[in-house]
Amino acid sequence: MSKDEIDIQLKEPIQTKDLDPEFKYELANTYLGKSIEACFKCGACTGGCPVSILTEVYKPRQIIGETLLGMRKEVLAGRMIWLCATCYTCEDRCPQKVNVTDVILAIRNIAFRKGYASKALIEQAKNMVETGWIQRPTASMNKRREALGLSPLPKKAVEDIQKIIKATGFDKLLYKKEDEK
Amino acid sequence: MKEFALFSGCLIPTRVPSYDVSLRKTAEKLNVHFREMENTTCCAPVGVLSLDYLTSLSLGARNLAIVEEMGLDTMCTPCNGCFEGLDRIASILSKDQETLRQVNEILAEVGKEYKATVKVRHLAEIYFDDVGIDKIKEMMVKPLDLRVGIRPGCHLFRPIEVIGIDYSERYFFLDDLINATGAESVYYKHRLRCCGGLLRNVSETVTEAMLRDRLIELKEAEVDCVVTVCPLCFLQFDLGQKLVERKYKEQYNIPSFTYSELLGLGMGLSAKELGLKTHRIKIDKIIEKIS
Amino acid sequence: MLNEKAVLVIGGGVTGIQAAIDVANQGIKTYLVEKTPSVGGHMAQLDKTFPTLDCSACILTPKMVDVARHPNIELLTYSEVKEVSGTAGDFIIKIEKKPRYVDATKCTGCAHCAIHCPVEVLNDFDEMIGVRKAIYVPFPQAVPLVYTIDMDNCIECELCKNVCEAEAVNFDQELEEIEVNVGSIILATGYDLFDATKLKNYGYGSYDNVLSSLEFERLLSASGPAGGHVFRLSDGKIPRRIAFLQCVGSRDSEHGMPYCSRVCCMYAIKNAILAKDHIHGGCETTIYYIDVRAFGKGFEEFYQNSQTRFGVKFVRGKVGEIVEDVNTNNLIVRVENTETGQLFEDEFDMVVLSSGLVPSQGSAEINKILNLPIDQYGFFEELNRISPVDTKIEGVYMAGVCESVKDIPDGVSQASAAAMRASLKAI
Repeated sequence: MSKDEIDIQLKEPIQTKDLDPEFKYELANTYLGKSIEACFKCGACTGGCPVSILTEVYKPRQIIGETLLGMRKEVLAGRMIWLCATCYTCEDRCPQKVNVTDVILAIRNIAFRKGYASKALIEQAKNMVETGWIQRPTASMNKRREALGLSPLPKKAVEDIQKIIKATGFDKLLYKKEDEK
Repeated sequence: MKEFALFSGCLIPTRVPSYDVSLRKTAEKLNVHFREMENTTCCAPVGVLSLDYLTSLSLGARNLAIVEEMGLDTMCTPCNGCFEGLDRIASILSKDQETLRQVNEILAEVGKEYKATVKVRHLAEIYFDDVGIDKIKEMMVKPLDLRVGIRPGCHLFRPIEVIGIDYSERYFFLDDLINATGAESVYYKHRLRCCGGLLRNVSETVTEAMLRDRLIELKEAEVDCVVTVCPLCFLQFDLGQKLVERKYKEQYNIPSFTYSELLGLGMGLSAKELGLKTHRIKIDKIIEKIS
Repeated sequence: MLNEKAVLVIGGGVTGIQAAIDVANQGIKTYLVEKTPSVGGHMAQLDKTFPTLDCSACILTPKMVDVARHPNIELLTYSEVKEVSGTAGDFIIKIEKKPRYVDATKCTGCAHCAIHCPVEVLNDFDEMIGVRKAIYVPFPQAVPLVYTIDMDNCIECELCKNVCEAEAVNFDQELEEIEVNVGSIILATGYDLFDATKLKNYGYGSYDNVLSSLEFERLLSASGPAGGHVFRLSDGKIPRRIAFLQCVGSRDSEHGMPYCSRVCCMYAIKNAILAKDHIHGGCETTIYYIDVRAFGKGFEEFYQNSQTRFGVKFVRGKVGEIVEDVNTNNLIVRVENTETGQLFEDEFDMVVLSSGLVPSQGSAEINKILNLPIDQYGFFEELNRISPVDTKIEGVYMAGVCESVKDIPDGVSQASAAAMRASLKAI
């Protein structure tokens, strides 16, 4: 993947009036995102990222950098934040103790509230709150278990889940989404 | 040996029942005592954490509270995702009083309270620390003559700040577990690197490209099979391998096992008993090799 | 003419040497205690210094010889300070002189003993990549040029004794303890290199061709194990592509020290230039950095020259990981070029880690005796910001990296400052 001639693509200049310097504080105030301000963009995270090596469309340094710069719309509406495989390699490598993966998860939390989320994850969350399992259980699964001498799939505490998500407000967020990406 | 609360998670009972069977049958033989947890929920892993931190925390804490209700202090889980997620939640709640209070307010709605006393351990740790390499060697009916590529998965060791198990590129404790069965744990390139499991459904292209690279690395290392300690990793290398083969029109022929299944084979249990027929990639040549 | 009170300098690197010479030149008796068999310290291990590319040994050895021959300096090498009592103006010091098993008054440094010694061990001075015999001098320009027997490895075959024409070998030599009375003490206990085995993603210690900066210096040095030629430790081949990684253990709150080690950017540039100079047939060098810190006299010019005149490449990006190709022992460096946003997996024949500087083991050891306040990294604390060479104990002064990280000119300046301060207490 090494290239000798660097082909630099010129992009449209960023308008500073469109930047929101408060965006990073929104993250710094969350539990998962609180370490974001320590980043000095050395690139150690991207240098070890297994997704970055396949697609230059994804770079953890870019996500954090754009957030620190205040490019709120691009980061929240963008696809990049959903491409993190959450392997935590970047977090272990960062010399500034930035919890890179956790910061990306915190950004996802904010994006979700703004109406942007990966369809697949919404689906998964719905499965979970409705059945208690991350994937809807089927009859064939139980048949297979029976053939192996295992007990049928245990009941999950769906009622408790419903109560919890009501208390956290998650139910409203999950079921009101129309603008999904 | 003490009793552990067994938290099997979602994927094992529904999609990898062979892991379910194997871990129970081998536990019996190794004298490891598991107690079933009842009324649990999904551990609410990364997928839910991406959407709402507090919900993920609360659901996880509820499961930990059940362990306390059972009168036990250690939860054992055979899944990396459940392991990292619940270990992190237990860690946060044992250090941050304010968050614990917040979570307990939510748990009060379902009549539960978490007192932050539970320790979360992975099944592989139990095999290594509590059962021990010597005991495992003893239990081998005959040593397995296999070249194994072990995949620890992303969440067995990372993030190191939360989990705290020492590891390096060249050696980690799973190597010893493999070697104890008589098989050879082959060192191969990038064995600590992610295979893209959690990106399935989010981006098939990326998942499959990542998985393909990992399969190529395994093929180059000329292993007989790949062994994992997590159902998601297992599914990637079993069902996922078939999908990659179809997409890229390449053959790898690397059967995939979970460690408990390998252990079971070493102890003399049959492929049928361990439910290995449910694997998508045929394991016949492995069974032949070890008999 | 000698004053009554004397000064003790602990540490025989360039800083300690300079301090000792400055004190002694004022007519004050000076004791210079060094725990290894020779003075010189880390500077003696270097090939050339930045930014002038002066030959390190050429500028250091005259001072080393000065220290050995100065009428007012008592040079106590292979010795350690064991006890310190008393106060400023009147310290009582117990010094332990370890037995060399060679009579220093008789040894001529002819090296016959070493030629015949059958035991070969790794040489600490060569950062464990070169060898020496059980009877040895750490390097050819050692001062004093007296052989020492490493009893841990000596098999007592006595071949050295048999061939020594000066009859200097003496297996009956014993530990000697002396007591001296001094007015003040100067600490110059220097640094150790950050141990890069802590950074698992770089493979130092597992991959043969990943070297620390001092190991690379020894390869570059004419007195080193390679005679100044650079070759790979895995197979002896000449490396044609070398990567230098910056901020290894420095600016790293997670795995190392949070501070900047100040000298690594400059020494990496120097090593890259020297690699090109020493390797015939050409060598590509790339330095991977977060920031290039070239703040001193001549530094920025050195940095610019390295690119325009020597063709050293610079890439802004902290390396994520190094993976070894088990067939060739080549190293693949994965990094994002943060200026262009492009990701690279570059292959190199050798990787040199520009490890940071940390307070030395020697500093920690002497502090068990002195109990000086140290900061959270182990550097001795200064009395206050405008008395930077005074420690918090009156009469005890410090210079060089044991106070804080600095390069050779700054270390030497500080040594002269400490010498002046120490002399006040000795008059």
